Amino acid sequence: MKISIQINASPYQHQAADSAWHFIQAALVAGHQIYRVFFYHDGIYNALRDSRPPGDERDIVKRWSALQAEHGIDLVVCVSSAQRRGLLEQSVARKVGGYEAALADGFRIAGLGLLMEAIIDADRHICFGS
Amino acid sequence: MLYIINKSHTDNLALSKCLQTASATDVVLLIEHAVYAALELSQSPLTAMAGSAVTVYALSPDMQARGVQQAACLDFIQYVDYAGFVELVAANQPIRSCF
Amino acid sequence: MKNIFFIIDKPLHGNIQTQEFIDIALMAAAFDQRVLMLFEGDGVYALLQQQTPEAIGLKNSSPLLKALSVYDINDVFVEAESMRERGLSSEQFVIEVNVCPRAELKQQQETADQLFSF
Repeated sequence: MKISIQINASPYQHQAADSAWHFIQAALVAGHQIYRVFFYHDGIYNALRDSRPPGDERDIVKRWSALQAEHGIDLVVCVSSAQRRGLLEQSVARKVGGYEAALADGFRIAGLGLLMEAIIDADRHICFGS
Repeated sequence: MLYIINKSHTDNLALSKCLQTASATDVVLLIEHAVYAALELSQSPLTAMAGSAVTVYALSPDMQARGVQQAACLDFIQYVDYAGFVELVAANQPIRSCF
Repeated sequence: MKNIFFIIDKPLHGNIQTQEFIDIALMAAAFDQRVLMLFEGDGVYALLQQQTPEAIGLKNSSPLLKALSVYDINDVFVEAESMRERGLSSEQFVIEVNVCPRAELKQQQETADQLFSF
């Protein structure tokens, strides 16, 4: 089954990113395909490269990057949610004089069209939020 | 329909509202802080649901994280881990995540 | 084409989430999906006239609601119980809506391919 995931909450303030990550691990073990993970609302904070949690805590951002590296899962950050909150794609940041290295490895910034594509193509679309 | 509830029943009306219209074909999954509603003495809306046709699951890792023991929970509650969560998602449509 | 049911249960002004959520609905309509919108709980307050969020420095999102029909989103429902609990009537709303009881809306939701809330 093709399962698409949406994350609407920031990491650390809510459990949403943790619940989604554990769900995805279990779905992969069960042989399902994770079509895409779409980060919306404050969920875009999951993609901040410079997140540096203390060493004895889980590193939520790194965990997402690893998921992409190991399983090739498409991690998409909504462009309008991200720009509103100060997370810019490198080319945009360069143009407007913003911080160019904000986005963590494995993520890409794109429009809501990719969310619609996921909802239309996937068998299930599950939202995790606050 | 599968309802995914993630907030404590004292904090949010989602559980109460979904139970008002839930029928025998509906499934409720309690995750995150919502697992407290499974406790027998919690006075949650579930405590009035004994004998109801609605199927209620609680996510056991979220229970363990919060020290919510199965022995202290309502006897009709069923338990799933994340693999079971995935199975519920695959078996039910549509799904409503309540916030 | 999928039936996508958007459930708004939070007010319109005070945070950005409702506005961002409606953006998804408009996008779904632009993708030629069948969009149904339901206002319930405190979401019914989103429909009230005379909201002037400019008073607290916020952009007014009410025009987004008026845009729904422009996007051919005409299945707009409000839960009757939520209105009653809040002492509201549909003449107070900025757009025309279908007022339906909770039980009927539940049946509608069961036919959806996708339910969305936030």
